[in-house]
Amino acid sequence: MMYSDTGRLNCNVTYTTFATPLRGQAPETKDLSSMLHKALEGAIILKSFPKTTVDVFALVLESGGSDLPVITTCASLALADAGIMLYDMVASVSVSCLGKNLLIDPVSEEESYQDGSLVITCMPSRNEVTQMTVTGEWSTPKIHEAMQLCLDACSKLGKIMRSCLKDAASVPQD
Amino acid sequence: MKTAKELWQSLDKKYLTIFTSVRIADKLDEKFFEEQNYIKGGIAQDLRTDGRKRISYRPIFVETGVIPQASGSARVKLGGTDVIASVKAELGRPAPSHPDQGKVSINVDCSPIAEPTFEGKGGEELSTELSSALQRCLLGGKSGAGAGIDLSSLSIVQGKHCWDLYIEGLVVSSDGNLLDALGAAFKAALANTAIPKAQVAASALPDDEPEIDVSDEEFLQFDTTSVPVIITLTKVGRHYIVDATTEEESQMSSAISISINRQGRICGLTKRGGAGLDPSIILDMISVAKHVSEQLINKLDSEIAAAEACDDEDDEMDS
Repeated sequence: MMYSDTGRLNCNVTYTTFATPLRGQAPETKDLSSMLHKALEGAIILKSFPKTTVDVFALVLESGGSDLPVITTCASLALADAGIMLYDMVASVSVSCLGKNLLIDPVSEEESYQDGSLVITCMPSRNEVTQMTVTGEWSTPKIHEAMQLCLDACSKLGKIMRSCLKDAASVPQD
Repeated sequence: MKTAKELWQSLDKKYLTIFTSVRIADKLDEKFFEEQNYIKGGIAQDLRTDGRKRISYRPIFVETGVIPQASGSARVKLGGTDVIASVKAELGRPAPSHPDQGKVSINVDCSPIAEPTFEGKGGEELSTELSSALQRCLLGGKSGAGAGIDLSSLSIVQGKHCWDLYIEGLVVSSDGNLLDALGAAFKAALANTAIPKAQVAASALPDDEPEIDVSDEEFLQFDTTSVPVIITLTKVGRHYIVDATTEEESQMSSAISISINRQGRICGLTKRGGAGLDPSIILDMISVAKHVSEQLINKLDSEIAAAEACDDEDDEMDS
């Protein structure tokens, strides 16, 4: 292992065999692992722990749709719970486009009929987008609308994540 | 106002010491602060190190039919970046969820010829990233909307037989902007693809597997006017550049790759790089990409048509 003066992040996403309706139908996990890595690396202050690697292991127990956003949000909460220094919480939301309608946080069935999807990962307090992927055909006004929807949802999610961490931190005092 | 000579003579040279330092970079790709400033400063003034403007592409060179064994192939050179794309069509069964569509599989391989670091596992991460970005741009949503390739044209017998297209990209030389070059190569390879006509022999019993007669003479050509192009906008400092070289990419904070089709609609978007971006900047980059895409699509279509015409002439001369 070469010495590195910044920390390293290693992400691994796996699915259990019973996670999907049909056994063993897991999506490409190498792809998901690298996307999780990109979503988190902008938020972790890697300079604060040189010569160290942070391993993030995500195991999907049940896949009900909108998997990657949930994995990213959960990983960010786990990092905060571990005490790793972060610039900000990372919240992620996805929007599905079915015809003219935009559905936020779709389930698997809605995803299988979608005409397009937009996944945004952002740091709500800093108003910075760390990752964005768009699939399918979109017109520019529709992308504006979907982005706005996602960013609003991400900031609300960020608040819920913070209150969740505060509750967890206040319990052991009893 | 004293001249330089007078100033020099007036100095008390007893205490003058001249420091000279020789710095040698530890790694060949490590850039000194001055070099970084030179690249960033040039970009800020709309004059890049090779003389281009921020939104101009390097000369694109397209050659089709480079791999005779494949159903279609193309080679695209974008400055120092050189990529080859090949399309192979094989008979297969359609997926149960989409019985009236064929299947397309996209894969990119970063060869060690391009960079010594690509050997073994080194190039694997880049290959996965490029493959998934290209899949997103060319295959559209799960229901098939917005796909660059019309999958229902690949169906032979609904639910039983279809064409499986295997689109492979190979990076031969890497000088930045691999995704755009691969997108152009895939578009050219699809334009060059000739899928043999498959005749289904009528069989007596409906339960029997119908026989497929693959013709050697007649071919179906793809209509590639709806295939989108990919434009990567790299953010360096406060400005965006199009078609970055390797040294410019080393200075990037983040990049967005947008796939736009002829109608100006966005068919895919991937943000790359670790740094965060303000949402308004993303929207601005989308509008810049749309503006650049018009020129690029026209240029690429004319280059592909010229390459195909050249290919046809060679075929006529040979036969």
